[in-house]
Amino acid sequence: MIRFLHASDLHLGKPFGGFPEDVRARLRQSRQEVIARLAGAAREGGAAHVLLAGDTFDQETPAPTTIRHALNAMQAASDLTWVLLPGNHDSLAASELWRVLAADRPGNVILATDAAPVDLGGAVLLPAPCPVRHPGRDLTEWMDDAETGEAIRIGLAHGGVHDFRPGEDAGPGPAGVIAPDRAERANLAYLGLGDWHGRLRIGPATWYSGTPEADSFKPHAPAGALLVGIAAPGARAEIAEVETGALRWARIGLDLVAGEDGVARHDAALPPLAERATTLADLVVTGRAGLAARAALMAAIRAAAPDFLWHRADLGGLAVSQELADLDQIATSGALRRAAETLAQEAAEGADAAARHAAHAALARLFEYRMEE
Amino acid sequence: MKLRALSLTNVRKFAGKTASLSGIGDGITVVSEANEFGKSTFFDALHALFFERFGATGKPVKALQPRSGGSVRVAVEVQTGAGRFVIEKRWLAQKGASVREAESGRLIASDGEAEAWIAGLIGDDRDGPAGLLWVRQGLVGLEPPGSSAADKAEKARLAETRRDLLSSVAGEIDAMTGGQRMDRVLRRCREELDALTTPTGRPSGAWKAAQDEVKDLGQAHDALAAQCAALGDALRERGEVMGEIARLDAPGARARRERDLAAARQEARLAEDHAAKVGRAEQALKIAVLEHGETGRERDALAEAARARTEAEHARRDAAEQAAGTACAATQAERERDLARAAHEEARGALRALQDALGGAHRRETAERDAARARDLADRLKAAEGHRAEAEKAAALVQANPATPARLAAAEAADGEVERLRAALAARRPSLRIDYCGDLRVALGGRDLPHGRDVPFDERASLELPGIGCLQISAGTGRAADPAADLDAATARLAAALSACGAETIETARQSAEARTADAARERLAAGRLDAVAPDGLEALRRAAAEAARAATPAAEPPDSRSAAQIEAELDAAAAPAAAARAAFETAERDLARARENSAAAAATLAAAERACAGALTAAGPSETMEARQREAAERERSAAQTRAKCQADLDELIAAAPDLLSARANLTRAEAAAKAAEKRRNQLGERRSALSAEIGAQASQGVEEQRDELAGRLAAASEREARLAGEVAALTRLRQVLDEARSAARDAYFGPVQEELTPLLNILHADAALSFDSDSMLPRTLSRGPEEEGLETLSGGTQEQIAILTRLAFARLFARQGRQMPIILDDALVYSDDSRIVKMFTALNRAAMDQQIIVFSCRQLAFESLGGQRPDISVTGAL
Repeated sequence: MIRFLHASDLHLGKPFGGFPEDVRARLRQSRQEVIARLAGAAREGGAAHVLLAGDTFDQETPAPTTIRHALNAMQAASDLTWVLLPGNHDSLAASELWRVLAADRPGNVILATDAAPVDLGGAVLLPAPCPVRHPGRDLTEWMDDAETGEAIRIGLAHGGVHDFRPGEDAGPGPAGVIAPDRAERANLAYLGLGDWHGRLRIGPATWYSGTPEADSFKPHAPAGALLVGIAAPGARAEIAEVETGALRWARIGLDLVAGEDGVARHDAALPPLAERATTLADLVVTGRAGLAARAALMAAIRAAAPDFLWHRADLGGLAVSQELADLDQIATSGALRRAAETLAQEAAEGADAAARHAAHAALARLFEYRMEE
Repeated sequence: MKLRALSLTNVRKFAGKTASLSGIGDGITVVSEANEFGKSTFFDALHALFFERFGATGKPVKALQPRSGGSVRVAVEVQTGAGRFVIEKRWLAQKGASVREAESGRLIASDGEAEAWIAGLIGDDRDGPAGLLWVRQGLVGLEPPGSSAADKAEKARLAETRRDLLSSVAGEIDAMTGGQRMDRVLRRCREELDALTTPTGRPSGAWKAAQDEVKDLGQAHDALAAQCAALGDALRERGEVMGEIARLDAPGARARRERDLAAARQEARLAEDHAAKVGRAEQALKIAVLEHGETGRERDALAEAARARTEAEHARRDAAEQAAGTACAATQAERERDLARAAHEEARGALRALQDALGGAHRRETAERDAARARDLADRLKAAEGHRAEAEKAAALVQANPATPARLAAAEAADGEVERLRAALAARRPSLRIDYCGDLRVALGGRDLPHGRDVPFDERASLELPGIGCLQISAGTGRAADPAADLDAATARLAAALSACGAETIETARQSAEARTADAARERLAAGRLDAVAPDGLEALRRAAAEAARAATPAAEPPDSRSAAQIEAELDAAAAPAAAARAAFETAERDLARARENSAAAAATLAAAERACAGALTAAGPSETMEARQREAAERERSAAQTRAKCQADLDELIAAAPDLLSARANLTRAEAAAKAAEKRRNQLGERRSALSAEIGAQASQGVEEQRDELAGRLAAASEREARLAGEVAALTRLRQVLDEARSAARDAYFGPVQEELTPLLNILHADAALSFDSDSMLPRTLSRGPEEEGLETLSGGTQEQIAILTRLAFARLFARQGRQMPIILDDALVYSDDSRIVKMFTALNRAAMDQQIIVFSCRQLAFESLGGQRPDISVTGAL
């Protein structure tokens, strides 16, 4: 019986430059601390090994402190064996990184830098390290013929799968090249994959663990790892999902229809108050709303934004519905009314998207000015 | 409202008086009076009545008060639609305001109510539209020209008034233009826009900061990206280097290189070995050729030795015979030589004896000459020593004698001087002479005076006159000179000179001098003699004498009675036989030498012949085996020829089978170079790997990729922010544009009534002229005359003044149209207008006056005569 924790894509050292400095520091810290949380999850699940399926580091040459902190955290969990597999971000082409790791690694850290069996004590790990960022071939192919005797065979790889192209996560490389039935072909009790930041089941014994700490607003399952137990050679792997994320990345979509109470929808869509301080919220409002409804929604957004660790609202996709009542609130007649009507018409029928957008924003601003009085 | 009468009490120059103006008509009323009449006082008082509250104490009110002080009172009679009223105000003292019916005098309102009644009459507020219709002296514009706070407030007030007026005229003007709401919206829009852009629309504030941030971050990101690219390149290169090192260090590659090198070496070694074999075969061939030649020469040598042996034996016999003959001849010559030698020795002994005797004679004679010379030199030395002693003695005398000629001369001179002085003194000395005539004698100084001879005396003389006494004779005193003193001095000098000469008297001095001269002559003579005896000096003479003495050692020669000359004669006699004996001996010697040479030569020839014969015998070997040996030699020659042929064949075969040695060597060179190059490349790669590792380590330690990615994120965020602000600016710009357009369009409609009233009046002045209005100030902005449009501020003062008045006329007509008749009051207006224009302005005023009351104050009586209109009644009454 062997138990291990399968995780991947820690992306330690990811800078998150698009965020304000305080948020940036928090995001980096939460990633660095994920190692300790993985160790805790492993201990809690009775696992002796933590298999990291690539992209442990975000860059090929991380800052020395990033490497040192990671190794220190792993050394602190000395009761566990950590296996680091080179992924596409930290491929073997990052020779300096792997040189430093090889030189500084504590005794409980194994660097799976060769496509050769690694004895885990009761099982044999067959790693498929990425030699370069885009290897362009199925690195797991060698597992089919790997001689391991009667031991439990566990595969560890990083990259896409043939028939798995989930749109925005596909990355810039070629289509996935890892055979989705590699576990069956190579008689693997389990094939742990990395690269896909969301948790995903490819087959009964083939899983992407996803990242243990979320790093984007993509609609993944909660960040975490997989606790895997294999009783004996030929036995089915028992897989349990473990949540390890400290921060929540929430993309909140609001698709409004004209006349709808946007404020109520907005308030209902927000996470509970207790979670907001550890949540990065990306509010995307689409659909159609009148000027008054839009202004009310903006006020509600402004009121809620400080609750969150970070908050962004995108109302670019919210079209203005032509409601006479809104224009009447600007002016019932005269020059102001004429200006409002001009802008409303441009927002609906402008020559191009930029003109329509400008007119839309100008009309909303005119409405706000009038409502200030 | 129309004004009908005006009265001022205790106002400025009308202190304590009441000035009245009555009979003001409906149209134009002209108050044309000379300067200092008080026209402006009427104007200001009328203005204060309508625009200054009765409780006011400000400058406009105080300016009305005369210097004497007191209450200021102004009253005006107005006609409205409700009737005629008298409005009265008092300021500063007895303050108050009232409105009464003109006819009944009934009080309609007082104080505050009166103020409200007045406000309702002229407009909604105190500074209402009527303010537009007052034209002060010299005013050319429609607004205050200054920029002070008060002026700005006044401008705003007037603009509001015009807006109010036009709003009233145009109905819902506020609704049309947006009015204050529009202003507020535009102000908000402009405030926000101004926070993001410059007046010309360029980015500023947050937008500019965002753009700058994008630019700065972009530059920083590009720099880091370049650094990362360099790092990536270094990593890739190091990977390639390490890969190449691995390939070079791979056991297979290394073994392949070693195999290649070993094979090349083996091939080269084989080729070299074969080449050595060829060399050895060539060597063997050379030896065979040599041996072949040697066997031939051996065969020939045997034949030659046989012939040489025979010839040597014959030569030996001949030489033996020749040697025997020459030996006999030599023996005979030796005997003859011995005889000649004995004779020669004898003659030579005799000669030698004679020569010895002659030598002894010569030596004796020489010794005698030397002894004589030594004696001579000794004599000369002795004489020289004497001369030298004499000279030294004389010199010592000369040296000891101080009476040199010079000193003697000095003493002679001093002595001469003494003698001269003595003579002179004696000549001047008194003297006594007595010629005795008896025996008695006169004694002087105890001695008798001689007879008949002058006896000199010195200063005094005491004559003893026997029997008489003693006669004292004195030479007297007081002589001019003292020859005795000079004589003493000269005597002293003489004594000194004599002392220098070592003499006491001049005579002894002369003697000393003569002796000194004689000694000096003796010294010279002795020295001359010394020079003659020892011309080279006494010391040289001493050395010569000593040497001669040594040389004069007597010779130890045997005694011989013969002289040298005798012996020489005997020697001459013995010389001839001795020479003959010597010649005979020498001849015998030569003959013997020749005989011996001949004998030796014959012996040498014999020895050589014997050696040659022995050599020939040795070389030829035993004669009995000669033939056998010649046959054996011929056999060896044939065998050597066969060996040579075989060696040649072997060599040819080896050459034919030889591998390409040069190619083998070239291949080995190539293989060695390849191995060396691989090793060198390996070292270079090692060094490059170290350099790259150092570079990578340095870059990686900075975490440049993290920095780059962080900057990329910040750049994206900044770009997004900049784009959002740009969108905001676009929206605000568009909003401001739409608002401006909407308000301009509204104002076009808004200014329509004004234009309608203004255009006919304007055309009186300028045909085809048109005014455009500013949407903010609502005042004329430009004047168009034909195609040209000019800013109002660029026009002449007269034209500006005319447009200002016409605009007021137009506004007044708008007031009238809304039922609010307001008089236009002009105080010394049209001061800048020329004659032709002023007439046209009069026409315009008269046109306006058709339904508008206009009151004109002017001091230009003549110019305003043609204005027409009514002239009011003016009166000034006395004190209150």
